[in-house]
Amino acid sequence: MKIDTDKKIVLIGLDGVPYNMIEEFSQDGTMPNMAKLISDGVFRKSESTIPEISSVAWSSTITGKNPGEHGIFGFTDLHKNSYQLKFPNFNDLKEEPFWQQWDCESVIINVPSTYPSHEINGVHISGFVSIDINKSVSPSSLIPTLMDMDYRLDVDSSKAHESMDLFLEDLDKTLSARIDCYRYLWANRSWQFFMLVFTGTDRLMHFLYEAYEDKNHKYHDKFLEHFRKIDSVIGEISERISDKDTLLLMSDHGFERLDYDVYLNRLLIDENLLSFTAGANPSLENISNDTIAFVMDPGRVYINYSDKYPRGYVDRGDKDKIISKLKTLFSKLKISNKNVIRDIYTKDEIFFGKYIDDAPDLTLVANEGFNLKAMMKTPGLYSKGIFTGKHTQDTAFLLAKGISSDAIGEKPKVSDVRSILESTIK
Amino acid sequence: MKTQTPLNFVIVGHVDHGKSTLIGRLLYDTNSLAPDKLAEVKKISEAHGRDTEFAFLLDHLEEERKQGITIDTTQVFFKTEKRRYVIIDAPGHVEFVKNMITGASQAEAAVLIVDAVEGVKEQTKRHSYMLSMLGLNQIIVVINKMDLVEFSQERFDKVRNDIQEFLDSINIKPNHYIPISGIKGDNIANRSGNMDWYNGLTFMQSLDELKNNPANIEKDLILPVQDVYKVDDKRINVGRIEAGKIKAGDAIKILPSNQETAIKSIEKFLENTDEALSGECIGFTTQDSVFLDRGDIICRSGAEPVVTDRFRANMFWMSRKPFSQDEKLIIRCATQEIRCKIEVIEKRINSSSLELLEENADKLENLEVGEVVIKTKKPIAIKKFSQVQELGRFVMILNENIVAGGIITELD
Amino acid sequence: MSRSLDHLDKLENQSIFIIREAYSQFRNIALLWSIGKDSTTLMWLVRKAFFGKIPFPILHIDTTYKFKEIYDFRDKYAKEWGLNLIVARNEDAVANGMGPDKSKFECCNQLKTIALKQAIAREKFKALLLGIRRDEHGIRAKERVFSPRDEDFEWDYKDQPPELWDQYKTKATEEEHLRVHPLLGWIEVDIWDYVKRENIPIPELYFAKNGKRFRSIGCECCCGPVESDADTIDKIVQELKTTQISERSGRAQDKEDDYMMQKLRSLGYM
Repeated sequence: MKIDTDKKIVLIGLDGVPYNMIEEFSQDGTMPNMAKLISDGVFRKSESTIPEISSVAWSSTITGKNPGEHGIFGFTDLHKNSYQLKFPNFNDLKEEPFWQQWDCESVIINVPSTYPSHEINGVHISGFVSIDINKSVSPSSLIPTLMDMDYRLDVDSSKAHESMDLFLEDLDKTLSARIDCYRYLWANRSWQFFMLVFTGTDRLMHFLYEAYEDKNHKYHDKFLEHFRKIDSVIGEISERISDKDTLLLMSDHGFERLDYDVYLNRLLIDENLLSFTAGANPSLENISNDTIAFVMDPGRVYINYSDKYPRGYVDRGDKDKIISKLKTLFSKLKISNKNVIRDIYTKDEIFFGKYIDDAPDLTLVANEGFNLKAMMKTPGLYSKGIFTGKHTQDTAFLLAKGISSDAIGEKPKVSDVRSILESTIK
Repeated sequence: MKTQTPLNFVIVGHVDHGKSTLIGRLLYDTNSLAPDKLAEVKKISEAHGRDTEFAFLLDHLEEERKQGITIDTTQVFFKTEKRRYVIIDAPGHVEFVKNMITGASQAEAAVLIVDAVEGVKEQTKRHSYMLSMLGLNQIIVVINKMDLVEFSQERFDKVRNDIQEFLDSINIKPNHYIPISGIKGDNIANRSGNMDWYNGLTFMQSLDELKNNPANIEKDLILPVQDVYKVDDKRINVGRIEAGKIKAGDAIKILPSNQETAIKSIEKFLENTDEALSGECIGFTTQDSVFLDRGDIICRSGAEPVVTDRFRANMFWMSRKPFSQDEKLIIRCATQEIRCKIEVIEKRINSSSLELLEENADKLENLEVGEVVIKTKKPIAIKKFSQVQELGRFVMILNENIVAGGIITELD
Repeated sequence: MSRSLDHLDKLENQSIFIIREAYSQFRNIALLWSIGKDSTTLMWLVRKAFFGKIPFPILHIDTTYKFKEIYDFRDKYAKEWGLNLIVARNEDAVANGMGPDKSKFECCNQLKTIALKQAIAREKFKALLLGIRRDEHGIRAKERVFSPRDEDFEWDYKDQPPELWDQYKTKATEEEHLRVHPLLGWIEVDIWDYVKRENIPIPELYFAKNGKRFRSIGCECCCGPVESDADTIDKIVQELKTTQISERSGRAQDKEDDYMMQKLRSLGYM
């Protein structure tokens, strides 16, 4: 695929930012540049992947594929024939990102789940979870320049557990560095595709969603300030492109208030569907050989099949029985009189592709306020911790300039972004 | 230049009294952390507050981090100007006493750590008791977290008196009592400016004073046969000299058969030698063609260990399944391995409170100590633990697992 | 005269004792030889323990991705030392083109772990001698000298048998085998000191060429050299004493998972 030589495509990601927040901020003056784009372009609510987490959603965004095709189902997975945790990374993505198939120079900054960075025609700086700067930047000759800008791969979120002020300071420095980096590469490379993801928005909402909702909150202004700063960058970029160019802004999932963390494995333990070898700590590695099912973050349920796991128990013949039992169990789960689970999907309902075997047997999507977790050693079935915001599946946003509303459709999904962009290329 | 032998020591004490922090501090103060390790630890500990960073060095496994306790015997290495050290970080949680014993049995000295705020706790006592049972006689007591008691001499004296009273009762005479703060570094490498009332050694100085275990060279010969190999038509008996020395031509006696012969040759690969010392693993041949087997004990006539089938011992039970008296055990002492039973459990003792639980008992629960009479099916060559540790200590095997350790107190 | 044992003598004797205990208890054992400096040192000790006639096989797990020098070295000394060498490969995986380009973990799993499992099953080994040391990596510090593994190779580090006074768990159930670690108490410098004292041959890859050398050698594709001018053992020892980089820093994967976990945790993703 070839982009016209005088055309540029720009894709800006705002990790985790919900449709309603963009709507509100564009109306109340927090994001005036966003408001202008909304009035000139197409603004839609969009759907994230299931499960609605960045690793899966961005992998689907950049490949246009179903998780069953690209093979990424979460931030964590298990090694084959084992209960040992692994952390899938860019090398495990089984489909090529679209920029590899576009015959042009690209600049890719901070796309989650693209670590370690790959050599491309252009520049690739990987995003969350990037560990080592030496493996995050291609070409590596750029590293000294980035160091000079005090570039940061990611906010140090652990700071939020110590001091919110330190965290916010780091968040702002990270954003500034990201902006410096974008400006530098925008000006110094002859690119045709530019992709930049802001991930601080997601971090901010995890810890301070309450500060967004509560106008009197100590950090309410700080919260708005972060979005204002991003809006000014969006204004700058809008200025820098011409009418022939395409600009698409998007989030990979939405956000809402978190009322409770809900520990699904606890439920399984209480129902005797999950247990651990005698005397051992509750953890995946210690699953006993009579376990029926277990959950991985956020709401991925796996049946402990005897032909799939070293201490597998369940015969494939019992699949239907067990699925129906689990569905009943999860659908009945109530906390404070509210149903916790909104939807339960079997593998076949939402996944397809070559790697469907690795997909969870059931995937759960929660109702408003409930954050699904897979922790095994828990204080109880649910609790409330430091986090005040959680992801949502159906309230992401998409905002495009230079693309027809037909090409976007009424209810786009993140996995449609690829074809939406390609509709502007001949 | 020859590399010096490091000193192995163990740090024991109640859970959360600060073992890992103390170790982290030692590594840090002696510059023994590799830069990448240091970076790793810093990274990991940032989420948990800075003061704890040393502890995370040792709590390497994620599992442990979650639990906040050190699960198993971890060995770390550091050196002062004087010598190298191997620290065995024994865990403090009650469930892990068998790991503490594993660690402490390899140590030449022990550091008992006590929290200045909490004072003497259950594991402080149990671990001390284990140290006395394992025969460790170089012990340093550190009273930690002095920063949390405003470096008070009064508090130090109180905790010191409490622990001393207990240690007296089990016959442990510590080399030093030192007030420290692992987190702040007081009296570790450097003298504390916060405790002018303390005139003793710093912790590091007290370590440098410790001595390596003396070799048993001056004692009577004990050479347990480990195995017999056929090498180029020659039968070579192998074993490790546990005490004394041996040379070609020496007259020897074989227990339990009481045969007498002499050493014909000492065999070492690619070495010509006719003498070997305690601690050496050797091969040897005999002048007469006696048939030796694993478990035979080579000694000198007139200086033999006792051969008996009944003796008294203190036995420490460390299996979750309690011991009931009719169970048949296998005793292993050096390379000897013999079926046995416990004839009498004269006393059943709580290893932490030292409380006498029962006389003439018929069972031992996990972590209890029994004063027992052991009857072996065949004669066994032994010494009192106070004479030669290598033949005075044993383990018990049940269902192919080590379930108890013990020391021989009296010979019948 | 007062001959006494120095530090290396003590380590050597302790290792020989352990090796002989393992053989005495099982007979059906093997030495796992990666051809690196540690397992070659272990080989040296095993030769000493058995007076040059090792009464059990030497097992080399061949991923087919080893350095050429490693293969040459292996064949040369297998012959010179009269070893009963068993070379084990996961032939199916090799035939199917398994390699590090697929997934590093899967590659290790297929070509090392599964190949080893197959060899143990085939030869019915009850115990394996391995040259690991406690100072190599955090998790190694948890090892026992005699360490049981179940049929899935899993190591229950949380519930290990006690080891005291050189008495080890020396029986294994049908499904288990024991990993025996005679070098557990050695540190990296000890190995080098001993290699030098005993003049033990080791692959040339350890010595610096053109400003680089390998601190650990495994598969060619997954080992990075470190900057170094150390072309003799003395210089290597000197380098170890002055520069402190953990040995397996060349083998990168280890720590990344730890960081990943921490990062995900701090955001509540785990």
